[in-house]
Amino acid sequence: MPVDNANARQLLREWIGSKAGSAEQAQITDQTLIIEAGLISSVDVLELLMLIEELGETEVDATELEPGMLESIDRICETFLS
Amino acid sequence: MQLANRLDRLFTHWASKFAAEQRQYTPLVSVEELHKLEYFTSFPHQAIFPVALAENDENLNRFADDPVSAGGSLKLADTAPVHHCLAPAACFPVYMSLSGEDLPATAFITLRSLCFRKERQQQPLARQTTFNMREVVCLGRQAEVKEFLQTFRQIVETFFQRWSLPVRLERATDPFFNAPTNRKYIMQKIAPLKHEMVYNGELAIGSINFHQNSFGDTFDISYRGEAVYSGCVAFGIERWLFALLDCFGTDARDWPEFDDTATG
Repeated sequence: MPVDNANARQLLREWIGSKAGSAEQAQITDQTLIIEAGLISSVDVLELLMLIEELGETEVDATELEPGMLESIDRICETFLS
Repeated sequence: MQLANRLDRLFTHWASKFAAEQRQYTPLVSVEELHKLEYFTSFPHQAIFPVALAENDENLNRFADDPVSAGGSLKLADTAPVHHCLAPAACFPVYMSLSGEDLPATAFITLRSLCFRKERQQQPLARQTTFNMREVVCLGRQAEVKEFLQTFRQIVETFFQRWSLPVRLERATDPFFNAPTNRKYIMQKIAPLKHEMVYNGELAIGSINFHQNSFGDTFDISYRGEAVYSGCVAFGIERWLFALLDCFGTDARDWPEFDDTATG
């Protein structure tokens, strides 16, 4: 069973928080632009895709990715977890 | 050759708008440094290496006795360790040379280099194994680098429009090996990091690239103690030649004064 939306958001926030510095952690919202703000980098992006696949019990085709799809928790949930 | 030099003067003139420092490097790049960029896992199909023979008489004699096959290729004997790769892009040595530095101010650097990439097919000027690349690089705060790239975008778009060149700026990804599992490919897919100047809808003659802080992280470069961001604008000189010759013909008398730096 895929994780429900509220839990998925919480797990995404925790994961992003673990990649960000302590100063940024408290300020992460579902609208925070996580790549633009430099909270995650290319080093983390494969791990993020794996987390999304796990949460949504779905497979993400990297060749089908479009700009903005991973820009925030809102966009991730809307694109992959709705 | 004349047109190539005119083009490079034009690119250098554009670089001078940022007071870019001129640099030059050898076209040999350290394997160890390139490996830090994951170059060999991302582009093994494009890498070209300068290879020498292992220096022992038996090996050298074996090679010298029968060096070339009937098909015209080398019959290599044992090779010496390979510590360098032929430069696949002009700008890599810039970041490598700044390794460990804390920049006191935004850096603008321009350089021209002979570059080498293995190509499956060859087409004179349009697709060559060896080609010249002029690059302009900016390192600094994120906002400054983005502004630099945006300004350059306006410069080249104005140029293409002024001379009615059929070139469009298009989002692009590099030709990564095993692309779907490459984190850098995925970043290029989800963030607008790379735009190519595409001639006639088919040939990339240049590119505008935002690297985020990846080069700074890899080579431990900072800007006043903070993460340094970088971006570059690259011009493939032979490909620009292809585009201009295709548009204006091979007679220099027919070429417009596109390189009038007083107005360009």
